[in-house]
Amino acid sequence: MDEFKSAWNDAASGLPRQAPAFKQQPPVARQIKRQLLIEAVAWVVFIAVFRDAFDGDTKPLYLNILLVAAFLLMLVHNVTGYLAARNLVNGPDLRASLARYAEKLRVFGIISVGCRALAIGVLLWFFASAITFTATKYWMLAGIVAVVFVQLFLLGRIWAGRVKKVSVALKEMSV
Amino acid sequence: MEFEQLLAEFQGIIHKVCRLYRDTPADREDLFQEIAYQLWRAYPNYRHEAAPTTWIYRIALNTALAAFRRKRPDLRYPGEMPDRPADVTNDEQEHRRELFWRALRQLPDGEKALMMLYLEDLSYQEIAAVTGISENNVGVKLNRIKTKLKNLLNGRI
Repeated sequence: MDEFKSAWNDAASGLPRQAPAFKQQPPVARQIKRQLLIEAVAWVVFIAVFRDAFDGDTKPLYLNILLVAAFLLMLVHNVTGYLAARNLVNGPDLRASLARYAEKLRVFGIISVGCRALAIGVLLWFFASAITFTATKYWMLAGIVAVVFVQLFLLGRIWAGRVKKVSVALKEMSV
Repeated sequence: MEFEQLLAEFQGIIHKVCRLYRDTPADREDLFQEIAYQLWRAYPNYRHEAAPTTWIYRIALNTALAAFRRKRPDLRYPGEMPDRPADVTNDEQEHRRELFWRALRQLPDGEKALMMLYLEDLSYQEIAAVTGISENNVGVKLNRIKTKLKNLLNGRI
């Protein structure tokens, strides 16, 4: 073990004495922010033009309200997620902090998949409401719904994987 | 102690956490920035009751275990040209160190945290305070991890 300790201690030798940059947002946070901004702009543009571009005024008012509400909910949820991702540390010790973080991730993941499912569902409803359905169109709709389900399933798996990573680390420390 | 001074003095701890939890220089650099940023955000609430190192260990390990990684291709470059003649003694020592780091990195993330605190010469009591597990459990876990490390290195050193 002494040799290990020596190798361990040597790993940080020869570092400069000045502090590295620390006020700049880390690259992952910047990437999330960029992605969030792009999505937000796309949804705001969609909300702004959907009544003219997709004949929103010819569709029931409740459907228009539902569509805007679903997209706004997704937008608000993404912003809260971004703010939450900036606070990784939340507890008096490692175990407490990671346990809270895993729970936060789990809830956030469920809401994230739910929001997307709701937004896509309302969007499909919005566009399908003006269509006169035939057997072929029903099959096409079924195909689109199947693709959406696969995407939501994959998104759910990504979130489950994130929660599992933190939960497993917690377990490894304590059992 | 001002934050900048604190970070300069203890940045070695962060470098070691990054080397332990990330495989490529680019990923290590990302994690370093993330840890420095999380420390800076947490600094106003740091009450100076605990030693600065204890506070840094907790936040650095927390960040390493919780932070997301950027998606990018896994490209690795050796530090030297493969045909460069090397000093035999240094080479042997370097080889043993590299094996040590490789073995450490093979441990699961939670066990890495405990092993790091042990290698930093923290007492069981201090490790328990940083991690939130009992002192008895720290001892039991560390013995298991040391045995696992020895098995990983068995026959290679």
